[in-house]
Amino acid sequence: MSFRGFEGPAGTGKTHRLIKEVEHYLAQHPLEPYQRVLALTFMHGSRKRLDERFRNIAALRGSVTCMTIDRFAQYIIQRWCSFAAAKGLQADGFDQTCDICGQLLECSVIAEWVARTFPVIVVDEAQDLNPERLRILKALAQHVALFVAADEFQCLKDGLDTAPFLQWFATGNVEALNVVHRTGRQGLLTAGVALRNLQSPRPGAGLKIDYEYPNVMPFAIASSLARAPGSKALIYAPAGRGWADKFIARAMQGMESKGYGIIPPQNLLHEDRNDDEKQAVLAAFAGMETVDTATALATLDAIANPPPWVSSVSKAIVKAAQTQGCESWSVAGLTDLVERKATHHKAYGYQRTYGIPVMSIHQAKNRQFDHVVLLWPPGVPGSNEQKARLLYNGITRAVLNCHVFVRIESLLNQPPFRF
Amino acid sequence: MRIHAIEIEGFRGIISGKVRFNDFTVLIGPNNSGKTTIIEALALLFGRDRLVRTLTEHDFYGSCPSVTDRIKIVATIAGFAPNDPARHPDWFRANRAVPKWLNPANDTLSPEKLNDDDLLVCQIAFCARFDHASLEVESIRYFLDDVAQDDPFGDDVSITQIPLALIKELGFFLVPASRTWDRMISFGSELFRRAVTYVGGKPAETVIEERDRLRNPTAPLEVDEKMKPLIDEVNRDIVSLFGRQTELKLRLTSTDSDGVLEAVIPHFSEGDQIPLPSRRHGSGLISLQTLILLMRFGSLRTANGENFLMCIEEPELHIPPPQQRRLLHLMQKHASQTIITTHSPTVAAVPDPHQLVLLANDAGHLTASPLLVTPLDTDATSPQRGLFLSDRDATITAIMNPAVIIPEGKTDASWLRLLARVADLSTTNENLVSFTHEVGVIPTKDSRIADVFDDLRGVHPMLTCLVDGDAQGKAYARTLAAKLEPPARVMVWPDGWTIEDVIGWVLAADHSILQDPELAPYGLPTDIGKFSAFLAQDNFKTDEVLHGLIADAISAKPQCCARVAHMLNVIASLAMGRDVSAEWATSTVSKSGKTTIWTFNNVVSGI
Repeated sequence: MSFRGFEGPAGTGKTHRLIKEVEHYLAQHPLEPYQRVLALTFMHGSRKRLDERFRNIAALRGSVTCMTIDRFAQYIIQRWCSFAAAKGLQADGFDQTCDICGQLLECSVIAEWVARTFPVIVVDEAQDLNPERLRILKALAQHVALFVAADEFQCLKDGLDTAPFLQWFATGNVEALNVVHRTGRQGLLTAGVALRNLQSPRPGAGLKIDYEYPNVMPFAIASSLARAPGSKALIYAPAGRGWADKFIARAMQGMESKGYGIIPPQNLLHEDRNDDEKQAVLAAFAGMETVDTATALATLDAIANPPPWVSSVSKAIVKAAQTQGCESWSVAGLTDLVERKATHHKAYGYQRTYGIPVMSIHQAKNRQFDHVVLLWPPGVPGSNEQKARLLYNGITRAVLNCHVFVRIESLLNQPPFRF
Repeated sequence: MRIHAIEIEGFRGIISGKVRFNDFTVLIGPNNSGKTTIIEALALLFGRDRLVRTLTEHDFYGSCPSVTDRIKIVATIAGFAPNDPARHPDWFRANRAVPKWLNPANDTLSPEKLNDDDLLVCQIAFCARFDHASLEVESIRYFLDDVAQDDPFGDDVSITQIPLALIKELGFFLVPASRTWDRMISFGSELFRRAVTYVGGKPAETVIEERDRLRNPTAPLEVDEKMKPLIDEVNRDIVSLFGRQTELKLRLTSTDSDGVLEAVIPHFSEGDQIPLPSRRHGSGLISLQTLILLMRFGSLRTANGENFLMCIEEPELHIPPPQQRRLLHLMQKHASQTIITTHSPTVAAVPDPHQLVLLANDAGHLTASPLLVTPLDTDATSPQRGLFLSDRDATITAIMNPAVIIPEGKTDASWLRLLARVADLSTTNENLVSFTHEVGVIPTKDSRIADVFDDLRGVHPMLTCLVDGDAQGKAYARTLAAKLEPPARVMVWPDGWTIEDVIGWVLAADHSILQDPELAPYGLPTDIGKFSAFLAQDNFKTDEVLHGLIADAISAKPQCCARVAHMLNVIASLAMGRDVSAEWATSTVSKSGKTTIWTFNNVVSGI
């Protein structure tokens, strides 16, 4: 079975077309009551957003299952573990899990088992698929109606050879989307085209690329964020988190200068607070070797301002005592539990954000904001093309305005700003 | 679909065990061997909520479940036609079961189809744990993907629960031993409701008509002239308390259709007599009516191509023997699969030997062995035919005991039965005889003791061969001990003895027994020493009337009874694998070390 593909630059509505096409297909090939559409993404963030978009379509509501491709691979391996064991397949690590899942799905018995429940499979952001994950799609493509959206240029994994993907993607019935719908701002559109061709992006309507003296910089950034109407985000390029953190601390206090006037305090929040939260929780156990249930619970209970997922750690500890008779925890075991619960919350929990979200370019993938402030520090790793991809991904998040700040002036004369 | 097998761990008296089922399976076995446990395990897996009692600590093996103890029951469901998972999307697809394949030749499961005649199966599991905080048992039913699957109650363990619709599709019906028939046939019983619903909806119009009639009775109770003053008082009280005009009406039901159905009580009438409610009838009629209803329901389902798994505990209850056999035939006809437990040799005589499964429980380890693994061959030997066909009742009666004795011949068996009766009649608190509830005796045909042992070896775990003390008997003992898989125990009568010598020895405890007037017509020898030879004569050896009279005479003589009791206790102890005093029996071990040969000692002080 040949698959349907959609490719096109950021903001051309790939996901939109993908969903429309699935709707259209389902109108002609209705699902059995027990069947569902399976939507696979690479990251949990995209999974959540894809899930939301599907949920907003009345005709599809309740009949779409969104999961990350890794979770799907895990599920297949777990359900077919007897089969995998009989074939001598054992998974270790995410990539291998996907590879073995691919091998399993190459057995038509298993692919058909999936296809009976999920006759339609949708994959967004497929350019990020490495050969192991691609193997899963290749195997499934024989048995299901497959819909894939991708833009090779948006692959941000430096060093990932996208050739196997492009080769496979070319075998599908692929539609190229060229009209950018996200923004009508000429400056953003031209810069996008330029970066895709590894040419220098030029500021224009909607796009500003600036350097300011270090003492002025915070005012410029804060002012840019404060003045912008609509949804906004602070996005930083790799290696820029430290800079972002410094700025966040300043912005919280509010600023005042002759040039910029009064800038009220702004609340900027990292979307990914997970690591900090984990460290804070684990710090409570510092110096302990083994911890009994009561101590573990008391320690967790004593954490001030605990992250929302701490209660699920406590619950798991109680459950382990009640169902498994586990009364003592090694710090390693506890760390593992904290990791799992934090990650699970990040993936599935509800994140409350009061304020302006702060995120890396990777985390910003497939999202959009009216106004984007992009921080570009020195030392962004990767080739010139990789840098162009990063910048492209950053500025294409903007619907109305993107304001790029480079931390040192010389960056303006280097790729990706000047080729 | 049918249940191919069930594996039980940690449930009631079973630490572990596996039972395989045919399309028609009759489970027999001693008390406490696990018959009811197996049926209830099936109910936990396949029953709808109302079938299943709430579990407590006592349902866990040992009654003291620790936090990590689990009840685990796994069933293998086979009989998917066609034999292709793609044709059963309700069962085999993502979010449902993973297909597995059963090799019928060696009964092994494989995750992929290896041979053409491998059968598609689905494995489902029930797991329960006792929660020490809430003091409740938590349980879960899920698809079993792998035997080494994680504990379903663990943190972050993802399992696929079985939807109720699939359970319903199996159509499992259980008639438990503790049945209250008049409840079962009323609309209050789930079965009757379901049967009626299935036939094409409840008799809706009639029910609604009846409901309306009951809402507006022609002569309501509250207007009865004797009732009225009281009702009026109540109405006045209500007004004064609530300030609202609220009138009391008395209705016979809750005046909804459910109330009508609940109120239905089945009646049966004979001739022109006023119909009698079912509970006024004999239990035989009620139970038959109920079973017939159930089978009608089953045949409706099977006619619709749906499944009907019928499970009956002790169908012999309340049902006269002539109907038992017919009833079982009817069940076989109407159900996709029938599983029965019984204590009745009449019921056990209905199935073929390979459909009859003997349960044995050795300290929690359940074994379930069919009487024969495959149907009897056309060239089956005469002892086999006797054992499994003509004398099947006797065989079954014997193997339903915890231990089984295989004597040399039928005469030995019938004497042992007579002596057991003597022991039962003369038993006292100081002199309890365990023989009758522990030991069954096979009426071995044609002295084929070694063949019978081979035939029963796979069926019953506690077999003891009993041979004469003569040259022939000792030769049997040697043959048995030399087998590749020999019996664990062979018992030999004292040197030179046959069963007649045993009887002579019993009588010798009280010489006066020879003067018993009932025995006079037989011309018994006056010398007790010559009695055995007398009894061994061809015309007396098998004269069961004479044997009965001798047994009666024995029961009148306490010293003789004491010898009988002693001897039977020794046999019972040996058969059950208990040690006996060296004074009562001496033992030698065979060359292979696998067989202990016990020789009964007839010289015991005080006996």
